[in-house]
Amino acid sequence: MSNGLWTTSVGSFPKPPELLRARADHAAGRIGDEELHALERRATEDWIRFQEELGVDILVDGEMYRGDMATYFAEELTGFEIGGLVRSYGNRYYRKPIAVGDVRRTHPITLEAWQFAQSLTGRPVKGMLTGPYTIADWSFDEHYGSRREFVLSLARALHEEAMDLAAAGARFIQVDEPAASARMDELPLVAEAMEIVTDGLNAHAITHICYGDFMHAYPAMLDIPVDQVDLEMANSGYDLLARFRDVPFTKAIGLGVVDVHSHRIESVQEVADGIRRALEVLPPERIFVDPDCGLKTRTVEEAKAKMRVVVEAARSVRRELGIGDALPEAAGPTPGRSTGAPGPTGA
Amino acid sequence: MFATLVGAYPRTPLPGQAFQLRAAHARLERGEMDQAAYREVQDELAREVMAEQLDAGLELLTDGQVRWEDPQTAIAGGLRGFETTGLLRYFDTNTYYRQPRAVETPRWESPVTVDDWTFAHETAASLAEQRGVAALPVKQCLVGPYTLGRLSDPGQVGHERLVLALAEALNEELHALHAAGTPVIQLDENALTLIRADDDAERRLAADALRRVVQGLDDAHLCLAVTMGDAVGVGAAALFDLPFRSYLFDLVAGPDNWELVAQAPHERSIVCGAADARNTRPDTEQAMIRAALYAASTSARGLDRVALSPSTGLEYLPRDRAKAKVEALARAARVVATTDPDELARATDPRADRGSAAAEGSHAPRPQRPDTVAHRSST
Repeated sequence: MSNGLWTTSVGSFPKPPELLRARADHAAGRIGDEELHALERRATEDWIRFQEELGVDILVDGEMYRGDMATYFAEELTGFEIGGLVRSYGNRYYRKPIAVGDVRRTHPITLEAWQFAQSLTGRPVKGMLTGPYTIADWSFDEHYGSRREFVLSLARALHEEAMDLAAAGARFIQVDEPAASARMDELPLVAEAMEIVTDGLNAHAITHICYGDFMHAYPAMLDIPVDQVDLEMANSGYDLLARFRDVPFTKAIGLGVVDVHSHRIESVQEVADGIRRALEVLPPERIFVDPDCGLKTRTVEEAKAKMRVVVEAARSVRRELGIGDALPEAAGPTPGRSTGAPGPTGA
Repeated sequence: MFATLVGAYPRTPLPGQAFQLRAAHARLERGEMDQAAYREVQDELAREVMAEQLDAGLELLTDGQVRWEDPQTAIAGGLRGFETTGLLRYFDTNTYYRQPRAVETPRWESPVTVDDWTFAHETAASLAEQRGVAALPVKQCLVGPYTLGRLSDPGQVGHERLVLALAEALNEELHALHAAGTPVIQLDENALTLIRADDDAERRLAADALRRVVQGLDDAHLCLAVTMGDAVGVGAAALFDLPFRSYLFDLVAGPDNWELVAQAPHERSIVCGAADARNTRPDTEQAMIRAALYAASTSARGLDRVALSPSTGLEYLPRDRAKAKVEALARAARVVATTDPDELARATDPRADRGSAAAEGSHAPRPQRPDTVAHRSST
């Protein structure tokens, strides 16, 4: 029996209200590190348990300990200082990092959190990194003066982190590059940096890209040396799938099937229809089904409801096709990772 | 010669200050604060950012656009015919806007920005009175028809019809602002940077929309602002065929805009977006002065028809860094305005600090002497 249509999620889940309060209290100095970390661990356990009970195939820790995805890494690397608040949208603000010196990694950043999450479950938990291009693009640069030098320095630091995760047993490592879709002319730099991050990495490497002009980024995005490209598809009406008929998608895909910026909970039927559309251009063993992006902007209830729909829809299509729900086993680098040539997922 | 903002200013607090706006917004969302009380918090912030501009030495003020959700929904929301949809990235920034979607052909029903401008105008007068100085003019910025149309989902209306209908609708808004006494009205047309030189249909559409939006406003000071890239694809002929008295160009993200500055007729004023609004690194005073001198030298424009600004809205910077940029811009403008031009040209000649600069093509031509300047324009 063949396997495929595995379910996962992009990375973040909403923080429960008590953790949000604790983060505000911690920032104001009203509680200490230990108290905050205890709540982060409890929230991580809750999300791991939820995903296991739901039957998600590849789990995430939900990023309960992170604020902004670029700033979190910048805080742990040398060479950065954290600037004042800037606005993202609406009433959302984040502290934007400023590169003021050579960027270096002096200690593991995500390893402990990944090990903790993985210790809670027998299913694989993804290692989650923010990509070098995105950290650079979402930072100010007062030091390098060259985008390429800045990005490649970050890539070298993140390579060390990725290797530590793989050595600890992470079989799936995702390197998020949401900024990659902002400037099509810099996709070669995204790929050059990813080559450094994934060089010699014995894991199934994924990159997540969102909210950009995919039509123009395709097929150049296939040059990014990863095994899987995770894309938001529901938000854009699965438009990109039509391009795959002309220029085949040669990697595994993370198929975003629910809109993370909408309060509406999609029906199982419409999500299953989206998966069926993808199956017209890709085999099931190269499809991983997930939400469009991280679910952290939804409420806990909305995020759970959307994940239930993702899992139920994938399951119903698996049943139709007689596909097994055995977990992907020996995930690792595919032969075509660096070249964009077709290859099996290894799963 | 003076300095001004492009329009937006951070709504975040200075270090050590409480973030009143964010707290008020959260209370508004939770239903613990009504719109009137929230408006008062916004008013206070607008006063604060205007005082900051005044004290830094800017001479044409804005309200910092601190009330706007984003530049698109702020205008589309005041017109008939739009609904608001999901978040989209604004150009290549990490800032997002809610995309307007046309549900019918848009129409102007009542002024959208006049109340905001009136408040800012009165605030400028009261700040000046407190300081015992003359009141400074306040400009009103709004997104232009091409950009609003291009960044919106046209729905069933269709792209071309939407852009042209927006031109008609915004023309009424410009008339309302002019009638209210707005001394400078700035149309922000950042989507002109998306037009390729070989895309004749879009070039024609943009030019047509801009012609319609300015109709009947020959006696108003209209400024066309292009940031986030260059508008070379649209072409100098199309841009300068329009009756804008001044043009603001981003010279950091769009260095090729210099080609346009060089071709701008001498009676048009140029606002040089010369301070990097998207990086915290301080800009050198020399670079800003060189930009002003070069713009003044083109078409014998003269320094009275040149101003300095950030390269785009300052909302992408933390407040303290934005404040520092504004102060540096005002300082550079003062230096240019008060120093003998020949002495200034010598002092900022790149050959003085780097002998190979001219050979590398980075040497700006020497500016015109001031006695060739015709007369002072308001921008």
